[in-house]
Amino acid sequence: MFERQFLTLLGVSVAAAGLFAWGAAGHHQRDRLQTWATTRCAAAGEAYAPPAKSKDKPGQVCAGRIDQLVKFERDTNSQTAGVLLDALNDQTRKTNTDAAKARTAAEAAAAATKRMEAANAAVKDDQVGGAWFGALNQSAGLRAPER
Amino acid sequence: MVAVKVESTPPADALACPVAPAGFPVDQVAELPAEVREAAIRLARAYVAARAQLVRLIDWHSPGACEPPAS
Repeated sequence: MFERQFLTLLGVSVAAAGLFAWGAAGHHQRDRLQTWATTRCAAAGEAYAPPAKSKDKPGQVCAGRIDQLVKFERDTNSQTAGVLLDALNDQTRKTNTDAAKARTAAEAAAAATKRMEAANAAVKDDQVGGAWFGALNQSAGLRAPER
Repeated sequence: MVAVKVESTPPADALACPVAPAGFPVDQVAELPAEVREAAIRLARAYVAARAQLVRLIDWHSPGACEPPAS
C-alpha cells in the first residue's frame, strides 16, 4: 500500500519535473524571441512594447513601420531605375541628333570646299568677281548682302 | 540609393544662337593676290566650323533652339 503511494508520487513528480522543464524551455525561447523583436524594432526606429494606455498590440506599430520601410525601399529602387533609364534614353537621343547635325555640317563643308576650289582655280590675273565671292560666302556659311 | 536627375544648363546668353553677318557682295570685282585669297578662305572655313560647333553645342542643351545656318 505504502509502496504504491510512493510510486504514484514518484510518477507525478517526474511528470511535474518534465512539465517544469518544458515550460522553462518555452520561457527561454519566448525570451529570446522577445529580445530579438525588441532589437529589430529598435533598429527600425520603433519600440516593440506599446506605450502605456495605448490600445496597440505589442509590435503592431513596429510592424507597420517595417512595412513602410520595405515599401520605401521598393519604391525608391523603382524610381531610381526609372530616372536612370530616362537619363540613358535622353543621352542616346542627344547623341544621335548631334551625330546627324555633325554629318550635315561636314557634308555642307565638303560641298563648299569643292566649289571654292573650283572658283579659286578659275581666277585669272588675281581678278575675283561674283563667282569667287559667292563661293567664299558659301564656305563661310554666309549670304551675300541684299541690295 | 536615390537617383535624381540634375540639369546643368549654361546661362541663357551663352545659349543664344549666333547671328551670321552678311557676306561679301557678289556684284563687285577686286584684285586679290593668291595669298590674300587663301587667307580669306581660311577665315571662312574657320568661321563656318566654329559656328557649326557652337550651334551643335546649343542644340545639345536646348534641342531645336537653333536651326542649321542656311548656306
